[in-house]
Amino acid sequence: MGELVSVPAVRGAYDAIERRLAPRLEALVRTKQYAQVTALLAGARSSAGDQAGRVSACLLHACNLPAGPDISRLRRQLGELDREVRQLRLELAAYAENRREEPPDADA
Amino acid sequence: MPTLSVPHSAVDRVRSEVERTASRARNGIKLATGTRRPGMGLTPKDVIWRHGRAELWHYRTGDVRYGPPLLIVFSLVSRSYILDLTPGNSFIEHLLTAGFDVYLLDWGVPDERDAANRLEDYVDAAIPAAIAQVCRRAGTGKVNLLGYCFGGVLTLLHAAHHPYSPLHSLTVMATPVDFTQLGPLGDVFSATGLDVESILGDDGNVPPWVMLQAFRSLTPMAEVTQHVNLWERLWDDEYVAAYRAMTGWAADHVPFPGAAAKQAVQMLLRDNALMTGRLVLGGDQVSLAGITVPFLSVLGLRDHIIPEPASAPVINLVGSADKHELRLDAGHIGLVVGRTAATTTIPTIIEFLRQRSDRNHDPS
Repeated sequence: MGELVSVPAVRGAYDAIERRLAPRLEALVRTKQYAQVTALLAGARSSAGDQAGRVSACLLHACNLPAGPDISRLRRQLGELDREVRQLRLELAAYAENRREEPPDADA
Repeated sequence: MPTLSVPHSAVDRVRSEVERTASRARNGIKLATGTRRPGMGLTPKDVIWRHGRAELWHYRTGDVRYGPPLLIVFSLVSRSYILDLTPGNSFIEHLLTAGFDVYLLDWGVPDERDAANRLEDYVDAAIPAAIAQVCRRAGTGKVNLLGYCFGGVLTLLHAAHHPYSPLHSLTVMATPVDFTQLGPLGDVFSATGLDVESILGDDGNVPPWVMLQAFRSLTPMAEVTQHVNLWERLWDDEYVAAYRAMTGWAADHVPFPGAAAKQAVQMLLRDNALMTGRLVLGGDQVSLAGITVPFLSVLGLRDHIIPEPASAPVINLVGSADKHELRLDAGHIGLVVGRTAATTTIPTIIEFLRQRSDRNHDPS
């Protein structure tokens, strides 16, 4: 049975590599340079997306069609409305609760 | 007779290898096809309140021996079923068996409707409303509050901003307070000036894949090691089931609401407001010293997501006279799942709550 020999042998080899490599990689991701490269890539990805979005938006707007950023803006505006409705609902519930807990008005 | 034991041993080894090879093949097919995924989050529960995407769950139990009830507030970046992973390996199950009445505030999956949510929406609105719902449902005037990971931050902010909130005790697990000690997760924003806006998705939230990549980058070899471990123990049904449950959860993140993410990066990370006393919520200056209820902090010494130096200072920041810290030789997930959780974390939390609870709790 080759398995009896091969699995522990492969495992041993992997562990040896992992023991040497893992601390170095973990130290690398903790460097300031790694953080800067990550930030740079995130920024580049975002501006590349913005550029592409602007070009496609121009083309769609020329045909009187809404583009991705228009839809995103609408979705966010709807989201803000939804948030306000949620807040109002909570305030109403709290108001109703307080009314229930208040003793009846003596003058009433 | 040593001469007889050798052939028996060889036959046994061959038989064992044949059985293992068959199990490897069976489990390999299950993994490749994605069939028979382990059931997760199965403890019976009822949704007793909804608020946007958030839901308040009440776990069913016929054996409440302690009160007031326990309300768990989960993190904003991952799924709450890690606390109820599989039958027999469930934080919730342990709490119910111990006789507690357990509620969980799950934030659901945020979408564009949540992009404008600020920390105040959680701390000053949703959590107080959920506490009121629990009190009403249980017929009590107080709750024990427990926060896990970023849920712990939310509970700290709530308790600090609402000194008259009806809290009986507060427990936080793997909860960062010194954000300068977060390591690479924090450095990407604090050391580079990266604008959160640049990582937001079309829905205005931080996409789940950003969170996933960020967590994965902390231990670059971990994923490969997981696959090697799996290959080695592919014959072990129990291991494979646990692997599928854990890896499934670890890759199952949810979007982080954009406005809350911006606020967290500026106030909690760059200003390190929990440590420097520059915490402002809803226009009010807030300090963790305002927390005076019985307090327990649980942290993992091998936690690579929230390192011990990031979570340890909380015990000195809260103003409670009755405060305790539990340091465990565990990782971030090991606090709630697995052997350390079952033998140390959960019994300690249960004991902490038991000592501060009313036995045979009568809500009336």
